[in-house]
Formats: sequence, C-alpha cells, structure tokens
Amino acid sequence: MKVFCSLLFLFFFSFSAAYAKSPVHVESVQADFIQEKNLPILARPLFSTGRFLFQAADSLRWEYFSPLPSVLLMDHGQVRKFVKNNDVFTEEQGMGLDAMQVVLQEITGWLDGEITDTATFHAERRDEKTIVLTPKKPAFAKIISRIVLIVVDESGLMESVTIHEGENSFTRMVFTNSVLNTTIPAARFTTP
Amino acid sequence: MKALGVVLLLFLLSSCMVSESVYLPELKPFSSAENEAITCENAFVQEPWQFVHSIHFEMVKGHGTTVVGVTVLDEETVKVALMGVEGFILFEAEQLRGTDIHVHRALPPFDKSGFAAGLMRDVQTLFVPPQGSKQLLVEGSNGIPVCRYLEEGQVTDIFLEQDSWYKINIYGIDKELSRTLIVEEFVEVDGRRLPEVFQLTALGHLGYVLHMKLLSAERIQ
Repeated sequence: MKVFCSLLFLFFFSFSAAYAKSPVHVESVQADFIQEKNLPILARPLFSTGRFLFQAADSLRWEYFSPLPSVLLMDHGQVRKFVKNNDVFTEEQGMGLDAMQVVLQEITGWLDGEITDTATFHAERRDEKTIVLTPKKPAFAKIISRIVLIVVDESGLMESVTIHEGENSFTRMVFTNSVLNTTIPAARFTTP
Repeated sequence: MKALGVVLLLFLLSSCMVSESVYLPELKPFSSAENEAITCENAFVQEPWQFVHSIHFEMVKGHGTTVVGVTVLDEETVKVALMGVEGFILFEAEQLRGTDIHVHRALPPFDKSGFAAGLMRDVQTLFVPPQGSKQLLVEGSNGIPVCRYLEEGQVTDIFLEQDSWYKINIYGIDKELSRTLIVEEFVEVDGRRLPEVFQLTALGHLGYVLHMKLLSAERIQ
C-alpha cells in the first residue's frame, strides 16, 4: 500500500508543485484523468479513466470509472477504499491507513506553502513545464525510479504525471477538465 | 504493502475451513461417434490473447481485497502481471512453456517462495489445456462431456459446454479434489465465447477463493 501512497503523494505534489509558481490559493481541485499503463509484457497498453476531487486541507476523492470502478476517499484524515463488485461498492480491508495519514500530513504542508524535497523524493525543475522527482532511498528507487510532472502553463494546472516503475514500465495520467476552487459537497468525500 | 501481507495472511487463515473431501468420480466413456465431434483443446483459446481480470480475494464476513490480473498468451509464452486497483505493479512474470518461471518484479508479499509457481499454475489451469494422456468421458444422465487428463498422478476434469469449459476440477495424487473452477457467466468477444465471471477455489489447509471477472479481452495479431 506504500506504493499507492506514493501515487497519492505524486498527485498532490504535482498540483502543489504546479501552483508553486502561481499566486493561486488552492482551496479545491477537481479534474478528469486518463491513465495509461505500459509494461514490457503487455501486447497493448491498459487504459483507465477516472476523476479526482480535492478539498483543502485533507479531503480527497480519487475515483476510477473504468475498467474497474473503485473509489478512494479521504475525509479529515480518515481513509477508506471501495471497489465495485456485483454493482455494489464494497469496502476494501487491509489498506495501509497509517501510511496514508503520514503522506497526508506531507501533502498538507505542500499545499500550504513552498515546494521542497521531502523525506522520500528529491524534486528538480528541469524546465518551465517539467518537474522530475527521484527517490532518495535506493530501496524505494527499485519500486519507483522517477516521476515526471508536466505543467500545462502559467495557470499551474497539470497536464500529466508519469510514474516510471522500471525499464519500459510506466503509468501516465493525463488530466483534463481541471477546475480550481469551486465548492465540492462534503458528501463526495464520505460516500462512494 | 505490509498491510496487504497481513490481509493475505488473514485470508489464508480464514480459509482454513473444514470441508468434506471430494474424490475423483468414476465417469462413463463417450461413444466413439460422439468422440469425433468433441475436441477438448478447443475449450481453450488457441490464438494469442491479452486478458485483464479483476480478482477479489474472499475473506470471512464478506471482507476481502481486490487486485487486477493481466494475462498475455501466445503459442509459446504465458505472461502474467498483478496490479493494485490503481495500476501499480505488484508482481510480473513470464514463462516459456516447459521452462522455469522468469520473475521480473515481485513486491512483498508476492515475493514469497512458491507464490510465482502457484500463480502460474492457476493461470495455466485457466488458459492452457493440460498435458498428459486424455480420456473423453461423460457425466450424469444429461451426458455432459468431460475431458479427463492424467499427468504425473494428477487428474484434471474439464467439463464442456458448447465450445468452452464451464467447470474444471483438479484432483491430487490421492484422488482428492484440490482445486475447482466454475464459470458463472460467459461473454462473447471477437467471436469467442469466454468465461466472464468465475470462481477459483483452492481446497485444503492453505485454501483460498478467488472471484474473477473479465474486464477486457483482446486478440493479439
């Protein structure tokens, strides 16, 4: 589950990193995404679609619509995950909730202020649009070798996040329909 | 990842249920005329395919955890990946038929000894016709055709329906049922009738139940 925490980490990091150059105060973010999965063994890449919602300080809805509907909810530090089985969302057990909460604390810090290295990643801005995150610890680098964030423009919105897991193995999320600072009903963070 | 390991451990422990043993049944042979019309190997896909399944590990009180399984088959190779629901790779391996398994990636707890071999065994049960000698038999008064394969003391019964299998029973050397696969729903993809919803049950003190659903299937040209 640490792996998924890393995904959460990069997601928030991307937005916070993107906003670092922008005066925009992040109260909420929502966007659609298409996720492309590539592996050496695959004959065809795998695609998923979904949408995420974030409300400062610590509420998140990360939802996949296809191919396997699932929802991860964080509400005021409480993390729950649901997967749709037989047309009903069923809560998953065994998530690394403690690790999630640790990551969330880091996220909160990024959203509140400056972008800096964290305990896990070193951040490097390669150019106006590109930020590269590399793991500090070799053990973690075996799981994620690097993360590449692409910023759309001066607005700070993200275009894509690519997680490199190994040679020719990567997951790319491309974001569309991003919306900043609109009111999101609280129930979206508590109900699948 | 540690939490997932705990889940799997709990799952395994919870699966240590007492159940009545089932042994290899005696079945009648098919008539020779019927034999000619049935080809056991046709119950499995022959061409290269890529499959994606959701795999739900069942635990007590209905709790469980879900992963996504990818299987890529061609004439010579079986390739397998297990991912979290979000797409992160937990396990990745391939096997040239008749050779050792080559594990590309295995995060805990999927790096445990025996896991790769067990996973490949389950995958091959699903997609690859067994080796060994074969008998064509019939079960019950309805005359359900059953392909019985014998290999190194293990017996695999494949129950046929139309041009696919709908149940597979595997018996150990002691003739006791060790593993069963039952299809609940089929779907037709690209002219091929495929199991869409099915359940794999491994019996015994380290038993488990996997509820699997086909998410996508593509022929590979």
